[in-house]
Amino acid sequence: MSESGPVSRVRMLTLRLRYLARQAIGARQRILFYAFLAGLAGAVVAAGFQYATALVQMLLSGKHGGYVEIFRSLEWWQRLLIPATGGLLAGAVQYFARRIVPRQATSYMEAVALGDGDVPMRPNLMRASSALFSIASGEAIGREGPLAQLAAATASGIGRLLREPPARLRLLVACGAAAGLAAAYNAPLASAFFVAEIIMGSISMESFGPILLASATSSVATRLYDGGHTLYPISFTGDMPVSGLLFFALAGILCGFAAPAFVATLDYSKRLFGGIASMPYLSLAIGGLLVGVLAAFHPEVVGNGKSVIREMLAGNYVWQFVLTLMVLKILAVMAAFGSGAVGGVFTPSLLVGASIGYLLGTGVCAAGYDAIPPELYCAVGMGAFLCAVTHAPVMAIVMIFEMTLCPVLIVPLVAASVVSYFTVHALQGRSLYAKALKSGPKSIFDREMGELTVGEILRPSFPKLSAGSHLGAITASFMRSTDGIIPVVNKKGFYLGAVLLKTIKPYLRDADLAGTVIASDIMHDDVPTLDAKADLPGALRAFSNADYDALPVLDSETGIILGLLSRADLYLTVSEVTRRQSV
Amino acid sequence: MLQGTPFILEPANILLGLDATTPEEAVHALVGALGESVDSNRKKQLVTLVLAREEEASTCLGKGTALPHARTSLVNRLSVSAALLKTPVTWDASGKTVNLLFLMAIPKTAIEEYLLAIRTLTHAFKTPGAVERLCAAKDAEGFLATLGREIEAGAQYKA
Repeated sequence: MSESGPVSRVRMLTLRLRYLARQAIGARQRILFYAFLAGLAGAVVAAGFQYATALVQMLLSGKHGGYVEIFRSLEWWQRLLIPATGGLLAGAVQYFARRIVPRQATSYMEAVALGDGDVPMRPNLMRASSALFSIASGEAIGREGPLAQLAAATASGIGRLLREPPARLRLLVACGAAAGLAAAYNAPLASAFFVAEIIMGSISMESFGPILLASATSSVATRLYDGGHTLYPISFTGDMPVSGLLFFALAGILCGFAAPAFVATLDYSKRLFGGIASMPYLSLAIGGLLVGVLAAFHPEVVGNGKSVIREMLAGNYVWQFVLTLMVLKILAVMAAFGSGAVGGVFTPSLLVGASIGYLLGTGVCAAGYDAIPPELYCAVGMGAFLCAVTHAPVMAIVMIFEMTLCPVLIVPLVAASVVSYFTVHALQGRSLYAKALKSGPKSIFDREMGELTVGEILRPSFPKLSAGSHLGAITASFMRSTDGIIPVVNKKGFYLGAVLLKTIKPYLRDADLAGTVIASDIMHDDVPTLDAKADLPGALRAFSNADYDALPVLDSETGIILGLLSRADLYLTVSEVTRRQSV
Repeated sequence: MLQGTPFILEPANILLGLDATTPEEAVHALVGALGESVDSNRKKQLVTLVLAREEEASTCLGKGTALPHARTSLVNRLSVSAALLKTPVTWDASGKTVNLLFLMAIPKTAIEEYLLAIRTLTHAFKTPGAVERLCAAKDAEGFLATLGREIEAGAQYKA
C-alpha cells in the first residue's frame, strides 16, 4: 500500500490565500490582466521602435531629430540620396525576408476582423525592420502601422504561449494593436475606439473593456519614458459662433469628396508599381528616390507630416504653400505607399485633412467671415478627413480631441465628421481599411454557426488530475485554473470525472485532509460533457442546462478528453460568428 | 446519528478487540460490521473496492489510526463501521501500524457528506489523547460515547 503524508499547515494556508486571490480572478478578469500585459508590451515595442528608428536615422543622415528639420539642413543631393538609400535597404530586407521567413505577415486587422488572432512574430519583425529603414529615411509614411502590427504580434505570441482559444486570442491581438496605436498617438481612447469599432466591430464591454485597458496602459507607460505631450495642442478659448458650423459642415463635404479620391490615388500608386513589386529593393528605391526628388524642392513632404501640421496650426504658412504642400505630400505618400514601404497612411492623411481645412478656413476668412481662425478649420479638417477615410466618425472625433485637447473643437468636429461620413457614404467611397477588413485569410469565425464544432474552439491546454491526486495537489491545480472545474483522467487520457471547486471550497484550509483525500474520492462523474463534434447550438443548450463555467470536451469515439470549453469562449465565438454573418 | 457527523454509527457496527493480522482481514471484518447497509452478496465486492482505494493512496493518518473507504453504488447512504484491533497491524508500505480503524462506504453522489465525515473524524483524532481514550473503551457503547465527546472536542480544537 502506498504512503501519504499531511501537507504542512503553512503550505495549506498559503495555498488558500492564493486560492482566495484567484477566486477574485475569473476568466474575464484574467483577460484584463492579459490586456494590461499587452498594453505594457505595446509601450515597450513603441520605445524600442523609436530608438531603433533614431539609430537608423543617425546612420543614414548623420543627424537625429525631426525629419523636416533635418531635411531642411541637407543639401539637395542628400535629400535625394537618403530616401532612395533607405528605400533600397528597406526593399532588400523585404526581399531577403521572403526567402528566410516564407510565412506571410498577417495584418493584425485581418487577424482580428477575419482571422482567429494568429499574428506570427517573425515575418512581422522582418516587416518592422523594413519599416525602420523607410521611416528613418524620411519616407512619407507613418510609424503607427508597424507599431500596431508589432504590438499585435507580441500579444498574439503571448496568447499562443498561453494556448488561449481563438476567440480570446483574437481579443488579445486587438488589445495589442490598440496598445501600439495608443503609443504612437498618445490617444488611448481613440485607439481603443479604432480597434473596437472598426476592426472588432463591437464596443460591448466584453471586448471594449480589455482593449481600452491595453491602450490606456500603453499610453501611460509611453508617457513615463517620453514625458507625454499633446500632439497638436490648440489653446483657442474664444467663443465658437454657431454660424461657423455651416462652414465646418462645408469642410465635412469637401473632405467627404476628397477622401475617396485619396484612397483611389493610393490604389493607383499600387498598380503603378505593380510591375516591379516582386523586386522590392527596386520598387522601394524608386519610391524613395521619388520622395527625395519632391523633398529636394520641398523638404516638408518628408516624414509623416507631424511637424508640418503643427506649423499649420500655428499659422506659419500661407495658403499657396499649403496647397502646394498638400499636392506634393499626396504624391510623396503615393510614392511611398505604392512602392511597398511598410508603414501607415493614417498620419499622412491627417496632413491632407489639415490642408483642406486650412485652405477652406483661409478662403472663408478672406471672404469676410473671420470669426474663426484658419487653424481651427485645420484641426476640424483633420477630423473630417480622418472620418471619411476610415468611416469611423466617433474614432475621428475622439482622436482629434485627444490630439488637441481643445474642448471648443468638439462640436465643430462632430458637425464636420458626421457630414463627411454621410458624404463619403453617399459617394460609396471605400475606406482605407476596407480591403484588409474584407479580404484575407478566412478563419473559423467565417463559417456558419451549424458548421463549427466544439472541437475547433476548445482550450486544449488545461490543468488535469489523476485519480490519485491528493487534495493538496488539487488545490494547487485550482490556483492555475479559473474555470472552477478540473477534469480527472487516467494514464491514457480517458476522462473519469471532474473535481468541482465549489465542492472542496470549505475544505481548503484543512491541512489534515490534504494528504488523505484523493481526486477519485471527490470527483463528480455526472458533469455533462461535450462531444468534440457537437455544433455550437448544441453546446449552447448544454450550458443552458448546466451551471458550469466550463465543460469537458471528449472525443466521443475514444473517450479521451481533448480540452475544456468555457462558457465565455463559447459566447465570444457565437457573438463573432453572428456579427460576421450580418456584415 | 452522531452529532456533527453525516453518518450513523451504532454499537452493532463497532468491533472491539478485533483479531486481524493483515489489513485485508481487518477490512473484511469491517465490511461485515456494516450490517444491512450492504447486501450480503456484495460485501466481497466492497472489500475489493476498499482495498483498491487503499492501494491508490494510504488512508493511514498516523497515531495508529486509518480511514479505509470506497465510493460505491453498493450503498444508499454513507455507512460507517469501526474497529479496535487486538494487535496493531502494519498498514502500508511505510511500515506504520494501525489499531484504530473507521471504514466508510460512500454513495457516489455523497461527496460533501464524505468530506464532512472525514474531516470530523480527522479532527476528532487531533485532540491530545483522543486516540488513547478511544482505544481504552470497554464496550461499544462506551466507544460511541467517547467518540461523541472527541468529535465535539475536535470541532473546537485548534492546534
